[in-house]
Amino acid sequence: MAFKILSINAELCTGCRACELVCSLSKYDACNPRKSAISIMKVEAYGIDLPVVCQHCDSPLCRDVCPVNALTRNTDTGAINLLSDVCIGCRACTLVCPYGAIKLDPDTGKTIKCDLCGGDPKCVKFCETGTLIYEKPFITTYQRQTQYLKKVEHTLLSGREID
Amino acid sequence: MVYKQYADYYDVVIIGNGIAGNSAATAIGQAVIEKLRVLIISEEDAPLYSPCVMGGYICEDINLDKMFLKTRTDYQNEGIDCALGVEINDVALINKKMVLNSNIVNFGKLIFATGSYPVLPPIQGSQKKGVFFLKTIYDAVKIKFNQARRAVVVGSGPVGIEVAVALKSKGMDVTIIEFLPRLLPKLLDTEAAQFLHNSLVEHGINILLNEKVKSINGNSHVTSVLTENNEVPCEIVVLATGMKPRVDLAKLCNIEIGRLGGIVVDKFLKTNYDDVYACGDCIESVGAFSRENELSLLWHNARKQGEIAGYNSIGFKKPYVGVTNIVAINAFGHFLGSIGYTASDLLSKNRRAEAVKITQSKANLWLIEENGLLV
Repeated sequence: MAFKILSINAELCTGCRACELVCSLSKYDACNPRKSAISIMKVEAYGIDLPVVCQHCDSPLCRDVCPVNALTRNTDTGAINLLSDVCIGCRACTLVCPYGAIKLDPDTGKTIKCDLCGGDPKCVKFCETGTLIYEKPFITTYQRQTQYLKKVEHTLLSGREID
Repeated sequence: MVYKQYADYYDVVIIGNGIAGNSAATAIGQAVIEKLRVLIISEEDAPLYSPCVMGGYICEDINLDKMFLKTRTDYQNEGIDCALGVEINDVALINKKMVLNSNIVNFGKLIFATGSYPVLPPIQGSQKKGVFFLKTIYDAVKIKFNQARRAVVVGSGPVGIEVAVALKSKGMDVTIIEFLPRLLPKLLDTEAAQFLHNSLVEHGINILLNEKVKSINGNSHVTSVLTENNEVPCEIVVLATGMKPRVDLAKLCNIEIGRLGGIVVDKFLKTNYDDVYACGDCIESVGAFSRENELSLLWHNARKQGEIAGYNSIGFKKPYVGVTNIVAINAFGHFLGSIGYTASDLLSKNRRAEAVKITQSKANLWLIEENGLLV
């Protein structure tokens, strides 16, 4: 699979919500977090900020349950795209999404879903902290490994005997 | 109506033009680089349409364009030949030949996606004019364009609820008659069903529970429905009393039929014959959670099974995980979803399950628990 993937490093997220604003702005011309395909789960008591966005699953349940075939795989980006003029707002996809990454438009009652902006996600451009990364899988894997190395670096070195 | 003449030989022949058959055809088209010749056979002459939105079509929320998911040119673009509106006279599985409209067609692999048919309950007078089922797009059109004022819906499965809501939105007087003591008996427990009940009654639908329909009265046209305690006057009756796998052709070919009435398939959706696969409503398959054989007549299961049968028919080995129950219903703006089994369903299998209610500001949620574990 040569598709780029949108990966999230939740440890870096500060909950600034710039991604929500720019997503809704680019899709619906309004800075409205309720109309954004990405959303930040905030647990203020523990200081947790978790970005929730569509994972474009390999075998997506939302596409399976859609009664009108409104959700289809884009062969260029690998994203599951919504054909919003086909969508009838039956909410079956919101019911089955294991991440809760599918929302409903409060005005039209239709589904709001990430389409990776056709291969150039706005949320990634405006993510100040580097939480959201849009890269080929091997690059994101390498980045993850580097982060892991940074964590255990000290332990690894301290175990060594130095003359 | 045959709009494309079919050839003598096909690599894969799919019987049934529903979602299962079509997703099988699409999977075959996507899986291999060299073009295989695929033929879809159906006795209906409509292209692929969605039966899940027929309620919306009847109450004019959705126009006819949206019901059809494919046009005839889409089939041509995908390289699939269609024989729609034709009858299969006979099939020889061992010699891999079939008789189509008195022409012989040879095939390499065969996929059964014959779907289901509505059950005709043993009720007197169910042949009268004004008695409808809701299965095909033709039924939906017939129900939509009749001039009746009062309607009775027999059965309260998802189809029954949808058609009742649709007819009520059209301005008819609607009565639902259900044999069991609650609405959506296979999907909801008593407490949850009461919410739906209240919401339907609020919008003016009459509901008779615990009532068995004895007969449908009238001379040539329906005038009333007689139950054990009541007589409900009406002009049309919609029988939504469930669906059964359609296996008459499979039976004719000596394909093994299971205890529940569906085609028996293995993990790879293969029947007891080599090179013959089955998918969709017409098979009985293992439940993803119960690991027992179940019938599942739901859209998303049919699509998944079709995809897998399509891949396996051309040499892949993809196992099928199992069926899940997921239903979403819109009753006058109250949205309702059901996933998995109900507590009463599990109780009937001697498992100690109970429904635990969680109330939030806007929604109610029932979780089914057994010994403190979510099931």
